[in-house]
Amino acid sequence: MAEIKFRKQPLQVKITYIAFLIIFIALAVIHLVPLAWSFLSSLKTGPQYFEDSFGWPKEWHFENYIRVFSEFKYKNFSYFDMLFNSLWYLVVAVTVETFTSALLAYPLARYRFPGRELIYTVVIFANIIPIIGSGPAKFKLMDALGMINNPWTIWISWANAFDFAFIVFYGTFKGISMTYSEAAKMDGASNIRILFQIIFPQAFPSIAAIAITSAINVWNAYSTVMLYLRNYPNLAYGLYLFDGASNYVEDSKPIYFAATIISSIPVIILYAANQKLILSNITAGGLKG
Amino acid sequence: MEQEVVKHKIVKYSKFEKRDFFFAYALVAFPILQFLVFWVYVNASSIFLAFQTETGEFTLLNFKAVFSSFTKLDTFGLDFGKSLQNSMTLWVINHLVCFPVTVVTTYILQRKIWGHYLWRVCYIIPSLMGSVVWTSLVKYMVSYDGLIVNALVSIGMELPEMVLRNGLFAAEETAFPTLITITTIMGFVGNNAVLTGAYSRVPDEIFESAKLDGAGFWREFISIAVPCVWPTLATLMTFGLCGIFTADANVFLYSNGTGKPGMSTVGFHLYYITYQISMRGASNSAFGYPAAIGFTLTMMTLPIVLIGRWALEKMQEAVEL
Repeated sequence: MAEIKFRKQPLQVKITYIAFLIIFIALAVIHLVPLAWSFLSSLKTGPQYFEDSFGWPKEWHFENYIRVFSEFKYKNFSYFDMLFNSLWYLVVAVTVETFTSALLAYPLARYRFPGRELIYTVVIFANIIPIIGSGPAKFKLMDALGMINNPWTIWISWANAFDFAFIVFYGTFKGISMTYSEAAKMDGASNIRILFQIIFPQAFPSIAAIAITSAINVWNAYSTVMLYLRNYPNLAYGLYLFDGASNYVEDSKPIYFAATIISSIPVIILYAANQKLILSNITAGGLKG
Repeated sequence: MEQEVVKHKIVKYSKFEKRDFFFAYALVAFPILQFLVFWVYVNASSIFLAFQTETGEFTLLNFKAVFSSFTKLDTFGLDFGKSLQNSMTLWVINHLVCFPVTVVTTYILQRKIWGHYLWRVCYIIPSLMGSVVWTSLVKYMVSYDGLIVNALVSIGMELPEMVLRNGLFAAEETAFPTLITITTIMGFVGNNAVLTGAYSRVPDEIFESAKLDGAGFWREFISIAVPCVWPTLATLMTFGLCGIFTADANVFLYSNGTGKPGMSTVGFHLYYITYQISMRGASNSAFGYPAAIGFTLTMMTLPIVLIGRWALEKMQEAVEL
């Protein structure tokens, strides 16, 4: 989309431009202040934080960032236990979430087979019909299946393909020209080869964008872990527990703030490095079904 | 009378087509199986639970409990009527105020206003930090010695004693208005990713030809940008309608898992009940009441969503004309 050329605009548009710029700057400040405050608080000592929580640090205690790795713990779980859980949840959840959505969307977008319309209609139905309050029933099922605090089976519940990612992938696969896949088919390429060597490379930006978005969500997920994986806390749930506990432990507040900064850095870098990819590839068209 | 004979055409598929069918079915098999277990079975089970006693007999008592919880606290100690009222208030603000503002702000960012890249990164920071970290930082900001309370006191605002001792989330008069204010500010730049993707697909040529025809900045927005991204707007609005009672606005985190004072939403209410069940264990819990809440709300939301979707489709037809 073309850039607004400020100098060439009439006065009315110039005033609107400046007004929006002021609003954008104000909103940015509002979004940055808590982060900056968290950073400054992470450099204080515990007593200094409680004495003047919104003041400037008298001394800069960067060693708090090292102390996180030994002092950020909850019950028997160390920082590294939680980091390990965060990492493997991320790998498993992102893989199953992204691939199940892509594998459902691909045949529905590009193959004609009996039942195709029905499945597509059901996917759209599941996306737009709000069925509320099934959480307790799901917990009952998970309990019956032995999936509570079971790290090996919980990933099945993450493999939901009937979601927003499907809508993005369906649009992407539909938009890829049939020419290459038909030519490959005439040359004798198998369906699997066409999928992995022709379609996936062309759909890579959308797949990567969905995977990155999913990774950010999984990294920060606490509610699922709180319900189903309480014995395997990740960093997000660990931060929730540690924040509550740190009110009663001397000198631990700055450790908490240092931990929030450390846990946020990977996702901020991941997003900043891929912002263009995410913003230009995550879009949803109409819901016809 | 001549009898009409209908001959059914028997479709014969080639070997290659059958191979394609097999491939397609193989790909969709796992997602469908997962859907059948974790969506169809779970939701059907939830509906049956709403009409059952703990021993499995048919009953309507669960619904009686739901309707009586409009006027008094339910068995989980929460005010369902208040949750419903708060959810609707938040939905109106999010979708009738914040969403239109987001459509405009994202458009202006997409037109590359000065610093647009930096602003976008700033606005996404709460999502990147995650709700646990972000809500905890916001809670410190509105605590009794936080920046916000100090600022309000310094401009001469009279605050309840409870706020001066424990912060804005501690007093009934200020807790929910504070939540609304935070949600509104964050909502002005929500849905940024999806809308940016939609705007970026509008061809530049359309804007150039409109410019040649003398269209101004706002005319371009109203007559070109909005119609071009209308399918995306309609999709987001449909999802918004579905979310009336599922969005929890992070109440669990803001209220330290209590929903008090007066901050409870339906999304929180249902999560809180599931959390309580998870603490007690499935064998010690009654599932009928939460299932009845879910069924009642689904029945309330369904016509809203269907009518809303129909209206959005009609609007899309008008836009396409």
